[in-house]
Amino acid sequence: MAAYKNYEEYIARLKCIRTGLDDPKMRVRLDTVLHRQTHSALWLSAGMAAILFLGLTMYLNFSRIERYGAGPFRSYIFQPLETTKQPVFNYLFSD
Amino acid sequence: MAKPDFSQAYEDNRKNVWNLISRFVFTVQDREDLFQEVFLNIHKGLKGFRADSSLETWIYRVASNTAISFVNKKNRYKSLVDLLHLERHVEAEKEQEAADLEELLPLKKLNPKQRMILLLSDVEEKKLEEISEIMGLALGTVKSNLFRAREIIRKEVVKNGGI
Repeated sequence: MAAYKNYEEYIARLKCIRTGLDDPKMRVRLDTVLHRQTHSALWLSAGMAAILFLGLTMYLNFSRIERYGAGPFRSYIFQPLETTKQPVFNYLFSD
Repeated sequence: MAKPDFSQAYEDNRKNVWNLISRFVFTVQDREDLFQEVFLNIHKGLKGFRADSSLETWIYRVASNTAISFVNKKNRYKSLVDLLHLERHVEAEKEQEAADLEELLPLKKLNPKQRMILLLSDVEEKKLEEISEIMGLALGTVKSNLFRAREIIRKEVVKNGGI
């Protein structure tokens, strides 16, 4: 660091420091970040929707498994009569 | 009252903001990051801007708050950041820029609040009342912080000058 006689001289030097304002990257980067933020928000929404969907599917699936069993051991015998007619509808709306 | 336009606010104030923050942080990387963060915060907050103070004062307030929290956040990860900045200094700065950045080093001795007050007062030449409004501090607090900051810098500069 250069030598200074006093505080005032240092402040005068501080005022003259080149700050590189004309760097064109600045404006581009600002736009990029704003653009990226929109993208992040979209990805976040999509991610949350996916998690919600998976959660709901698993919840429905588990509550169904709990009641009727799963996979090859799934039993339709003990389902109430009306649930056997429309399996997709009942899958979503049973319980 | 019509809300101020962001592009206009950016064009009118980017020079002031850049000048302030480029003396507040010590690497080009930090300057760029902080500059972006300040204008992102301005972009977010502009809708809620009430004309209690002038737009310029409000922008200075956002810049000062963002800068202080930026530095505080950085200080939490100081050792790692220092290591990375050292590399950046060596690899990226041109000679003149590196010399300029070196002149900022005495400011490192100040805490973020003192540094901001000193820059606003002595470099940006703002009045104490305005600084108090920008930083949301009592006038007395601004005065005492400024006095302490000047003392620290004076000591540092004279010591390094070998006088």
